[in-house]
Amino acid sequence: MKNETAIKNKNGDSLYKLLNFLKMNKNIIIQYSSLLLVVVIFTVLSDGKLLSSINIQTIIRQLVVIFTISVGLVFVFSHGNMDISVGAVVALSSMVAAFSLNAGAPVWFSTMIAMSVSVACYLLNIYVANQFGLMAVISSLAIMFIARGIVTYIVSTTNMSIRVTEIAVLNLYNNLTFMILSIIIVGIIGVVLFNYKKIGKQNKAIGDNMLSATQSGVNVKKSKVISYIIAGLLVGYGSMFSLARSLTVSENSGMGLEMDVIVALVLGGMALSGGSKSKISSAIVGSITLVLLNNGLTMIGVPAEVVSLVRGIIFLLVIFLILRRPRSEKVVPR
Amino acid sequence: MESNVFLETVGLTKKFEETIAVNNVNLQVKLGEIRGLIGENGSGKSTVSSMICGIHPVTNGEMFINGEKYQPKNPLEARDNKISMIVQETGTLNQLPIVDNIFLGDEARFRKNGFIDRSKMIREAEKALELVDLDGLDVTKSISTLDFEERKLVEIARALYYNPTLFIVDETTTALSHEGREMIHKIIKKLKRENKAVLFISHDLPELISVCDALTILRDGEFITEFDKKDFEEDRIKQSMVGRKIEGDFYRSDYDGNFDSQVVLSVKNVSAKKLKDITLDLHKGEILGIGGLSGSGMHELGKLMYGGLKTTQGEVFVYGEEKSPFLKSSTRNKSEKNPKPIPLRTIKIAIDNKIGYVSKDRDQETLILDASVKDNLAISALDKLKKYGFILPGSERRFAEKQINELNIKCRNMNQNVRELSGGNKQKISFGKWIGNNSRILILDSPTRGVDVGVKTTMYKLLYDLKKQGYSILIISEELQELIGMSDRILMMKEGRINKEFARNKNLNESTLIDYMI
Repeated sequence: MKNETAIKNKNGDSLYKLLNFLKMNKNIIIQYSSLLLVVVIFTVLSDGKLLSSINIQTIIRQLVVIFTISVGLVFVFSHGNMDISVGAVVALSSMVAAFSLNAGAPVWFSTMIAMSVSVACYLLNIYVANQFGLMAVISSLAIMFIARGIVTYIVSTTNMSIRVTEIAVLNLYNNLTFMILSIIIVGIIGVVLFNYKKIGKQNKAIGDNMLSATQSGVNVKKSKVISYIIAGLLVGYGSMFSLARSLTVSENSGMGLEMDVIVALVLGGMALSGGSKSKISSAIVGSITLVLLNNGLTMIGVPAEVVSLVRGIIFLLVIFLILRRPRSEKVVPR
Repeated sequence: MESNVFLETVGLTKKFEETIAVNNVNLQVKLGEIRGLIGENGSGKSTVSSMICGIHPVTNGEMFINGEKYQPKNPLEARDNKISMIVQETGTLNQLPIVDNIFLGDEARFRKNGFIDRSKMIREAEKALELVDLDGLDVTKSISTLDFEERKLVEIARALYYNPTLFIVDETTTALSHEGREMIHKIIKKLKRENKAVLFISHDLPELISVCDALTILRDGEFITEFDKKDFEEDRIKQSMVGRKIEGDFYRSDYDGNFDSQVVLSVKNVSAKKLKDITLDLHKGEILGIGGLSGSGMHELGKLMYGGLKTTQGEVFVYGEEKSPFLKSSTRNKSEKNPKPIPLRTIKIAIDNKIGYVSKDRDQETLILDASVKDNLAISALDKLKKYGFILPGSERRFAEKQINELNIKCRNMNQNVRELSGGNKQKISFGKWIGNNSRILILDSPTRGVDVGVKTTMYKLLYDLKKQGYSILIISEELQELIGMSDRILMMKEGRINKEFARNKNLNESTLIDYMI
């Protein structure tokens, strides 16, 4: 008799513990379950075509750009800054890379050039923001206009859009194995930098409370600059994949990427205000979810005209689940 | 029952989810009475007051005003029932002008032909400010041009403008300086003379004893007991607050006041913002107390000694255990006892030389409330935690565990958000992050502000232990009793200068010190 109640209590206890565990890890669960849900739903709806080997190749090609860029931008978002210049910077860097390739430069050199252009954009961004005390999102708006403006102007001076004349030079960036390797390596670098080096931890502290961070010995300006360099490097690198896919640069290149990155990060459970809830896994999981979502919607034959609408609704749902602050979490006054 | 009871609560209960914050509290506030409400952190004082003011709905129980049932749905209804409250935190909106802050939510009162009569509003705002002696202020200016204390006074003016019959002061005075407190005391005494009721919430016992006519004690959300003025006795009240016996003297008991002669930190003829020609030395194993009024520059002095303030003249030096190869070769023949002074110009230099600083505004400047206990403890020690260039989760965990155990920090686990912890535990974390970082010099600005008696005792014991281990500690405090009780030396500041130095002495008392700060 006594034993029975003990067991009952134990069961109740473990149920309570389970509930508590679920509550504590709500965000992580949503983060991964939305990925899982997208996979399951679209696999079923597309009769398994989603996971066919041809489609997986397509997915990887779509993934590599957004993945690379999102990992870079976690460093910016985690300290509470937002960046909307990604698309324009990708266009500018791939344009410069295309010119250098056409001038006969080897592909590694063009990659370096693309990365330096992008890093320069991001350094200018954070310099302006630091120097004039602006919100970095405002200076990134300026950078966006400038970069997009340069691309638009130069494209307008040539009769046609800018093309890579020797397609073969970009073979490397179209190689599937290289893409997969690159995804893995960028992922690992991102995880290590963000979780096991000072920069990630300091970024989170800055995002939460800049004053406390300063008084705890965090050099806020330095951390920000390093983060923007990391972001710049990865955006520049990502722009090479983008160039390799399209082989041309027009005034519309990279358009909308900045929003895709934000959507990817939010789908991955990132708090856009930064701080301690920032996770590098948001970029990894979120960009995969986003690409699967886009791909899946076209796979099951949702007309292109309503894809945006459907995406919007799903996005709203995820925000509601992740970012909403439950009413019960009211702080008890003292 | 006499008819002069203004507010009465019967069986007042409040639950937040499973947590019972207030349980079955019966409280009476009479007209012409200053009623103190006291209890440790988390004992439910503020929850009671926010129910009275309609901020939180009541879970169970009833409230009566003048014997009639009273169920406020929001603060405006409380105001219509002549109840006003000033709160612990800042209750003003920084972006708005003073006048709009005063009449926030009540602009309709000045409606004229569908528009707001701005000039009348301004006149009324000026009238309200006269109630707290803040006349001559341009009320159209943004409230952010006022300092913290003046803003508090604006809040008080706002509360008084509605001519409350019950005036609730919720933990306001702990955040104020000496002058600010006096001002509030004066106001509530005046209200008492006008036969109004005052509910004064605080955990500063001496203050309540001196001001209140009667005290209600809460502990863990429950009504414990009441005291009338004639029965006030500090030890007994403390006992019923904490629920166990607390010795009357919780400071260190020795009066030797000795410390090592080695200087670890020295300020030489420094002038900076608010500071004029300051010279002082901090020694190894010394607790140096800095006292004065809030505006005397003592808080700035703390920032200065942490490299957080630019000097206009003079220099601060820290005598670190410098390991720079250049210095080593040139000073090898000199004795180790006198390390080379390093000019202290940035926070980075301060941290590298093992100085730790806990700000007066702990929640805003020292802690990261939304981060975990572990992250808060580790943030300033990241360099130390590096292994082969990487900060591994294991070493972070061990580091946090060590601090949690050594300082006896009470938290569910190290991943709990600091925001959820009580004031005392928060303070322990802000100490812990520096102690763990091997800091040998601690600069503590108002270390026991906002913590209750029980925690204070542990804090003092901790500080004394640290002193004995050779830590150098600078305590900046407005609580003179605390300085007298803990310091080896006390420097009193006045108008940016060091006015007087006292050595540790049994016969030192508050009034002697006050003479040198005002």
